[in-house]
Amino acid sequence: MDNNFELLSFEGSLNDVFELSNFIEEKTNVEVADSSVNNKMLTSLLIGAALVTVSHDAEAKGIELVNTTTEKSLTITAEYNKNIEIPFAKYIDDIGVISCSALSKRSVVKDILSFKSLNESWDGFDSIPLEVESASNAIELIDLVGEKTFCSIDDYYPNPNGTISLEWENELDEKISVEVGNNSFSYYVDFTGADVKFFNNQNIDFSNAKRLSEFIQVL
Amino acid sequence: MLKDFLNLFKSSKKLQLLSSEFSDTEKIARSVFSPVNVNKSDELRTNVYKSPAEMDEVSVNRLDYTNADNLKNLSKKIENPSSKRNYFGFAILNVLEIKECEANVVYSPIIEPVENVNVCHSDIKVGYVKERGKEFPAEINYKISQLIKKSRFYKDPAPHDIKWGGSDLE
Repeated sequence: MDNNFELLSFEGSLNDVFELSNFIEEKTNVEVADSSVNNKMLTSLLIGAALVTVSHDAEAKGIELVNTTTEKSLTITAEYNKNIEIPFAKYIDDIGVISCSALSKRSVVKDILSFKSLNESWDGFDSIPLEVESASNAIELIDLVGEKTFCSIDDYYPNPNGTISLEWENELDEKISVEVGNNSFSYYVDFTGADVKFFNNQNIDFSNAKRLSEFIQVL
Repeated sequence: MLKDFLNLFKSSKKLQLLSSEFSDTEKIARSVFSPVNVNKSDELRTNVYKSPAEMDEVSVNRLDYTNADNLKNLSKKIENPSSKRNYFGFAILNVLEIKECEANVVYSPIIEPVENVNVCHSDIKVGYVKERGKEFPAEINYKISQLIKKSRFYKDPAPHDIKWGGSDLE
């Protein structure tokens, strides 16, 4: 699925909006029989939404264009707005989730790769850059844990011996701290009112990632 | 070469090393660099107390025998802005706090080369030597997180100035 989005800015008079609506109808062959003034504006909005959401055209298709008359336009438009509210809200939510996880994963991966290009002694005390295997394991862990869960990460940073730390924390000062190395990862879970749990030499695999993911979701 | 040896000899003769014993109230300072050692909220990351591979030595200084200006001067020497390692401030612990985290501090003065002599230098040891590319056991990471919690972080309000301009390091 292509998740590239583009914000289209259009500032103009009311007449410009009507002209745009006519223009779009001509170009896209959308049939809006006996379209009223109100419906013109809605049509241009709907088609505009479809234009910026290439991967969500199914959502746009699910919205029915209503044939209105001048006399009943206000009533029908009100009904129209009511009908559009739910799918439109869902559509906005979908975009929010997709944007969040996609952007976070992209930025996390980008940062992880940048840690690989750190200089020797980057901390001033004989440190080494992030190891290729550790970077690779961290990226794999993102996928295994799940982007949506991973999206809540609070901090991630390189360590002086070539490993990488990943941390999740909440407002109650509860914390999950993960360190990913060349062959495995370790982590502790520090929840209020419970003993700290320690997990060492965890292989980078689905079952270990699933357990980590469950802790993160509880946090 | 001969000149170097001569200088080293002269400086070592002049060196007044400190006692290797620490009192529990003695203050220990760790240089903090940005962005590597702090998060977006300017809070310490655990890597500030993590050793390089194959050693268990986190370089610190004995604050009671020097002052913030000298520490800042030492820190500025090893900063490297082109590598995004900018001097940012100090993390302070006293010896008792280090011991409470089941870590230790040992005296390790630097006496050579002559340009790097530092009689206040010491090392915090967490009791584990890390291999290259091998993660710490979770218990050690937790221990280091406790050191972070106990640390008092002093962000330098004017990192580009020669002298320390912040409040007293305590």
